[in-house]
Amino acid sequence: MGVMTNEEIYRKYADDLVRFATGLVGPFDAADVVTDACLRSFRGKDWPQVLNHRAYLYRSVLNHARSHHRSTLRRRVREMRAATPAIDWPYEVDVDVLAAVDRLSVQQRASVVLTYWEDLSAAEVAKRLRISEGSVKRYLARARSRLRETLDE
Amino acid sequence: MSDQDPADRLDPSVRELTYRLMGMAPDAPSFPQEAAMTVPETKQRRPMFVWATAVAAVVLLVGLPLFLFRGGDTAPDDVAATLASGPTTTVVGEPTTTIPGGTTVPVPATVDAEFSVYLFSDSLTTAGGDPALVPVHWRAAPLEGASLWQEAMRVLFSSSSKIAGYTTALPVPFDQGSVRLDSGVLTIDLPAEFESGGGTMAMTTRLAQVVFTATQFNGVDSVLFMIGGEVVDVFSSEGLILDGPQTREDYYDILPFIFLDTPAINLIAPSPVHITGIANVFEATVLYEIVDGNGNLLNSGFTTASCGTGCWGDFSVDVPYDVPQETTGEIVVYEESARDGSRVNELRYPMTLVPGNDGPVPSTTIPPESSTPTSLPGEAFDIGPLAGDVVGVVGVAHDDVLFVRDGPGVGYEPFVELDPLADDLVATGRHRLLESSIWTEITAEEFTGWVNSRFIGFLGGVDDLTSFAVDQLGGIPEAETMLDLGEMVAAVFGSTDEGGSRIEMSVAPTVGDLGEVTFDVVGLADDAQLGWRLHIFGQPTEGGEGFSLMSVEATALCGRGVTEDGLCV
Repeated sequence: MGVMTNEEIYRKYADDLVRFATGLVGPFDAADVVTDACLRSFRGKDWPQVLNHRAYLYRSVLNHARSHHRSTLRRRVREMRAATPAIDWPYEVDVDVLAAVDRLSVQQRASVVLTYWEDLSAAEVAKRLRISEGSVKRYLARARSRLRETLDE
Repeated sequence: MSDQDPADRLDPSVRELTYRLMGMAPDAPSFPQEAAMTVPETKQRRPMFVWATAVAAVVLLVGLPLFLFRGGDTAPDDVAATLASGPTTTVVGEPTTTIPGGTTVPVPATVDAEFSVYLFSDSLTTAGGDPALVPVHWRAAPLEGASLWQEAMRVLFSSSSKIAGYTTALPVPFDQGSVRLDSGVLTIDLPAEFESGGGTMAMTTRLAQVVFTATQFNGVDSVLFMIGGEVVDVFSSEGLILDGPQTREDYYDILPFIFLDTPAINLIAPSPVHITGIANVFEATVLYEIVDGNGNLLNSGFTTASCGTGCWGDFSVDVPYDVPQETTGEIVVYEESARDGSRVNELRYPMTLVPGNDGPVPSTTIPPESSTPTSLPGEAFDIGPLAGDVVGVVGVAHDDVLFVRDGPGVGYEPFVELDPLADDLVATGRHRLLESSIWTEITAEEFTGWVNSRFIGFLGGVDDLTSFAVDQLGGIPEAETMLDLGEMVAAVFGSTDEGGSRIEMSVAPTVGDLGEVTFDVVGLADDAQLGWRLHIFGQPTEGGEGFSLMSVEATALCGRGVTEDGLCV
C-alpha cells in the first residue's frame, strides 16, 4: 500500500468526519472542529506511526468536540429559535433535532451517530472511540431514553 | 454475533432523528493548506516536571483503578456459562421429559409435550421500548417418536406460532429433516428465503427466537445456522456476523433488563411457582409479586441475581401462593429504581393459578422487621470502616438522598434519608457482602441502620487542583453556566469510560459575585481513593455571558481511612 499524503487522507475522510462532528457539536461548528482536529493530528508527533487514520481522526474530532464548549450548541439553538426567519443558513436547520441532541453528552452523541448513521455495531463503535463495549451500550441506552423523553414532549 | 447490538438499532425514532441531524451536515471544508507542512508540533507546554507530576497523578488516581475496573467489567461472560444451558422444560407434574445428553429420547406418548415458544410480545416492552422476547407456554398432544426440541422447532416455524398478542419474525416453513442435534449443538439448515427481508434487527430477532426456543432444553447448548447446506458466518445483506454456534448470551441485548424465563406466559403453575430468569439490575435485586386476576397480592418478595449493576446474572426462586379455586393471575417482576425507589423495568406475565395442596402460604418473604445478626442476608465482611470511624456520604446527587435501611440490601425498608453532604456518620464495624454489593452499618444520634457502602467514604485532605484541571482542559475553561463549567471540570477527574467513574453534582450551583458548584467524582474502583469531591469556583467572564474557572478545591474521598496528613490510607 502506498503512503497517502495528508491531503489524500483528508479528502478521503473529511465528509464522514464533518458528519460525525455535526452529530457532536451541531452543523454550525462542525467544519471548524474537523479542521482543528485534522490540523492537530497531522502535526502531532504520533501521526507518522498511526496505522488506522480513520479511527485516529474520529477520536481527534471527538476530543475537540468535547473541549468545544457544550453550551455553544444550546446558545445557537436559542438564537435560532429567536431569529429563525431572519437567518439564512446554507443548509436546512432543524432546531428541534438540535435541541434534542443538546440533551446528550458528547459521548452519547458519538455513539448514536456511529450506531445509527454509520451502522456500526457496539463493538465497532467501542473500537473506533477506544472505549469499552459496555460503555457504548450504556451511552446508547441513556441517549435513547433521553431522546425519547424529548420526542415525547 | 455477540458484537451485534440489535436493541440499539430497533428504535426508528432515534434513527430518524439521527438522519435528520446528519442531513444538516455542511460540506467538508477544503483541505487546510497549513496542514500541507508536516512540521511536528512544537512543544509549548509548561515545564516538564509540572506536567509529569500531573500525568503521574492521573495515572495513579484514574488509570490504575480504571484498569482494575475494566477487568471487572467482563463479569457477564462468566455468568453466561450458567445461563446458556437455560431452563429445563416447563413440565407440569413429573419432570420426565428433559433430554439427557442431547440424544433424541422420545417423550412417552402418554404425556402432553410442554415447552416454551419464544415470541415477541406486542404489549411487553424492554426498557428501551422495544418489543420484548418472551416465553409463551405451549402444550401439544403427546409426541410420537419426535423429540421435544424437534416439536418445538416445528411449532416455532409453523403458522401455529402466530398467537394473538405475540409476534413471530419467522415466516419460513422448513423441513424437519434439516434440524439435527449433535453434542449439544443444534444445527439447523434453513432455506435461502430465511435471509431475505427485514433489516439487521429483523434478522437478529429471528435468530434469537430460534436460539432461545432450542436452548431451553437440557442437552441443547447452542445453535449453528446453515443456509442451503453451508454454515453461515455472515447473515443476510445486513452483514450480521455469526461467530459459530449461537448461545443465548449472544442475544442478551434484545432482552428486557429483567427477563423472566419461567413460568412461561399462560402456564398453569401450581404453587410453589418456580421463577427463573436473568437480570441486569441495580444491586442484582429482583423483586417479584404474584397477584390474582382481581389484583390481590398473593405473595411477594425479592431475590438476587448472580451478578448485578451492569452485568447479567441469573436468578431462581420458588414462590408459594394459595388460591381457593383456579383463577387467572399474573407474575410480576421488577426492580426498584436506585434513584428514588420507584418501580422500574416491570414485566408482567399472565398465568393460571391453581389451588395447591400446600395449605396456607406462610407470611410473605418480605424482609424481617428488625435485623438480628443471624438473619442478615449475605455474609459477614471485614473490609470497610472500623467501629468508631467517622464517614460521610459520597457520590449522591444534590437532589437525591441516601437511604438508611433496616438491614443490608435494597429489599429492606428505608427509614432515614441522608443528605448528600452528611459527614457525621459513625461506623459500627459491621459489613455484609451481598451478591453484588457491600453494606455497612452506621449509626448517628437518632438511629442505627445499613447503607450501601458505595455511597459512603472518608473525607480526606483538600488539594488545590486548579492547575491540573486547566492543564487537562488546555486552558482556562469557560462556560455559560456554572453547571456547564462544573461538568467540564468534573469530567477531567472522571474518566472517558462511563463505567469507570460516576459523577454526581452534590451541591447545585450558587451564583453570587462568584459561582460555586460541587461535584463528586467517585467509583474509581480503588480501595484507597474512591474519588474526589470537587468544589469548583468560577468568576463571571468579562462579557458577563458566563463563567471562567477560578479554582478547584478537591477533597480526597477515601475508602479505608485517612492519615493525619489527609491522605488516603
